[in-house]
Amino acid sequence: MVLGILQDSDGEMQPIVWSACDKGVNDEAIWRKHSGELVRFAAVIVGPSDAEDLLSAVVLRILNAKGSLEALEDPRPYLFRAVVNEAKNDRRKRSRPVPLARNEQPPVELRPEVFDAVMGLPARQRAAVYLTYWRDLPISETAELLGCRPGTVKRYLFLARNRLKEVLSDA
Amino acid sequence: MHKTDLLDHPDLKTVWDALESNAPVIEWTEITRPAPGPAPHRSFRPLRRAVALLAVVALVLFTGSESAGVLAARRALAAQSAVLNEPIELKVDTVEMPEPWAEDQLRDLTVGDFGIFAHTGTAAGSGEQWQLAREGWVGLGLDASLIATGEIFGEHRYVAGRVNAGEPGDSAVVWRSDVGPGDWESTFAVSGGHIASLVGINGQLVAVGYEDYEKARAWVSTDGTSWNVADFEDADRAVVNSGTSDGSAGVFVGYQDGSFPLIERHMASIWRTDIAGSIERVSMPDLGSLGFGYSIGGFRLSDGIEGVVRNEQGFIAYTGFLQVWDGFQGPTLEPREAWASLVLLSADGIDWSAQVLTDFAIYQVVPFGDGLLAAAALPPESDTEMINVDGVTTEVASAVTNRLYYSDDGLTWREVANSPQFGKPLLAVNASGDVIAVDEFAAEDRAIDTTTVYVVSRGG
Repeated sequence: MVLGILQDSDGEMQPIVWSACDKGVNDEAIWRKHSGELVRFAAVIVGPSDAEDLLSAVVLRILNAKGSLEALEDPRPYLFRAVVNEAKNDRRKRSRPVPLARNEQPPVELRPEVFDAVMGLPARQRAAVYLTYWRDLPISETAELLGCRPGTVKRYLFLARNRLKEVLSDA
Repeated sequence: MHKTDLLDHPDLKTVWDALESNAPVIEWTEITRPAPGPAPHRSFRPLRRAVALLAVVALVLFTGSESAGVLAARRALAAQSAVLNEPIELKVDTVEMPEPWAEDQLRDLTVGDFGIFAHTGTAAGSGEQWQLAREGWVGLGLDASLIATGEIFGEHRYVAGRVNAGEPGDSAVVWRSDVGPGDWESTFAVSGGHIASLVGINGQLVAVGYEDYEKARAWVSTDGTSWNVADFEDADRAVVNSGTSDGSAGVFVGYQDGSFPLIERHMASIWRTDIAGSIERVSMPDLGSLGFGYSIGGFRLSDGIEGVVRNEQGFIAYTGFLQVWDGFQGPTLEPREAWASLVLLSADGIDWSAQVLTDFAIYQVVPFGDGLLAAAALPPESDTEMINVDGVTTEVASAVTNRLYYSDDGLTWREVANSPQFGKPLLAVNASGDVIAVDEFAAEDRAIDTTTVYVVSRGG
């Protein structure tokens, strides 16, 4: 399967065939196991439209460094942390609008000012609120996925609560 | 349950649901070359341009005198390029830790000959010899402890931070040791709190942090065991990020929470005390838009002032990655993080001058002899970089790469020759004045663990 044309290390343009990148025999299984929640998480962090690019960058960076996803001792927290780090890194490169919908209209009950306030939170604060309150994870598991301590998660939640209370109390 | 509060609001659930329901499905075979970058954000449509103009007008009307402040700030804070093209030769030794550590595990402590900690349970004085600290430290387990600050006070060495005591929350704790890295005892604890800075000032040990997760608090002690709450200006709406002392005066930096008709604002703040009275906020130099939300063509601070250190010249406060708002960004008024830093200088902690350094994003600064050592990043040459996967080169967003820089004055910086590269650096100063540098995740692959320690000294 030809995915595209890219420049190789010698500067030559080469067709990208997926099998050339498919090094770990269990990589696809690992991806299938975690991709659902990872994609939703990435959509929360950078918006649905940029989630695919972000995850591609994350996986390619890991393949570049480790050779395969199989090399990761514990893929789930590693991948979550990598998403947050990549998003933060990416955010430092450019201004990014955060479009809501890929193909659909936003639901009528969605308040734009709340959406803007949520997407205006720093990525780690937004991730902490999403994982703890929407995904209903214990703070300890949120901390593991974000690569920080439980106390840090609580601090993120406190800061997010402060930043959102004005717009939410207007409801 | 912790879920019955504002963050469980139905409007938030609508946001999460909308984001998730619009998330794409990505098959393994679809992971391929990301788009090289966004469309230029200045190419917005005429209607959007008009909306942006209206937003600008509204901001000016709302802020009133603030617009004059912006102009004043532009004059007062004429930005300058910070980096001289003259690398400095320093000695950089490499040490391998026996065990990898994870994020947030090494702390900047200068508490004598055993004052640098990694939370995997190891401690060291020089950065070259590491040993296991006492198992079950303070009876709560090392993994539950966060050491944030340390100080030599009187005959004793103190460190402070917090332990995670489980629900309902953390406890701020001060520990003391006179023996060595493996033997610490708790001398003070406050439920629901954290201590960010512990400094000695005029014969008193001062701990500054927060209580109940939201209120800045300061405690003072003359013996390290009996503590009293000190007055702290703006205590109920302040956040302290860092603090330091020259022995006779203490300086703490952070921000005050504020509100604004359109956006959240944080007002960068500095507090000083000789602890004869309260800990008082000092007058800041005219930061104009820097300290007041969005500006037009200027910079803003997002989380106040991040750090403060002291050397023989005085106090140096800093924050990196200022933000800039340079156009209507789409559905949100979202600023762009700028490769620029703010440096504030003061000889006494009372009168401060400020300077914006462009094209130089400071991550952390520590004292280094008469000067300063920083971990900082320069803007990358390109927004994207090429990486190699099984012989095929592909393009991803460029990683932030921090390096070490030296400065005599905090305003002009020289890269350390052959500096290591860091994804997320953390610097500590050992008892000899050498700087211990680690990477909390490797720049190469965004990995989490690392075992390499760099010891930076003047050399022979």
